[in-house]
Amino acid sequence: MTTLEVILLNRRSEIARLQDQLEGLGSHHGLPPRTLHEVQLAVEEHLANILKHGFDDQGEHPIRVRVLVHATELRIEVEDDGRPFDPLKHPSPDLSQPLDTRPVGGLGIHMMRNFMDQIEYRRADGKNILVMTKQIKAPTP
Amino acid sequence: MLSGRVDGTVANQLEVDVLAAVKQNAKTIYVNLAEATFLCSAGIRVLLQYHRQMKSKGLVLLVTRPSAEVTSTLEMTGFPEIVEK
Repeated sequence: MTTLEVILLNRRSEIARLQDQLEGLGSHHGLPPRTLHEVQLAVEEHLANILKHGFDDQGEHPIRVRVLVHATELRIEVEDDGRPFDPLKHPSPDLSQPLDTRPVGGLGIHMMRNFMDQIEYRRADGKNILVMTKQIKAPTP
Repeated sequence: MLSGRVDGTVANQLEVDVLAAVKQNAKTIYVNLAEATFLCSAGIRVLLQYHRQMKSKGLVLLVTRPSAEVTSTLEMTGFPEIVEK
């Protein structure tokens, strides 16, 4: 098992720094490109939501990200001290509506739900803790 | 053409570029995503917003040559119509 632990600050450039590290982790472990791509998008969407909605002030806030790579599973834990936010409580967008009138909100959470196999949320000690799990499967030929 | 990760920062720049093209009265805008390695929801929102705005004026904004990663994201989010056929 490998663990990567990164403390990010609530800035966009920090998300890019984490994505670079995830790519390094992916190539080190030979993760299937599709798996890595889906994990990166879920992480991007969650962190973007924290930056956009999480904080009432302009100050710096640490966001702790832990990535655990097992043989068949990748687990990502994200912990932030922003306002309580459970992404699982947000409804999925209605994708059956026509393109011209469909609201575009909620797409990021929809992507997280679809790209990850399991998502759990809890609030503890004044922090949001989101745990996302992705099965690592051999790429289909 | 956008390459690499189309994250929030790149999505903002895309909006600036599209707005500049709109100001210059572009009738057709193509966004080539052949070398984009991922497309986040902020990027989809920009594409969709200006696709609709252009379409309402009888103009065109479409994604061209999307990479496999971008195609899977657009299909999963239900927006394959914004890709040039």
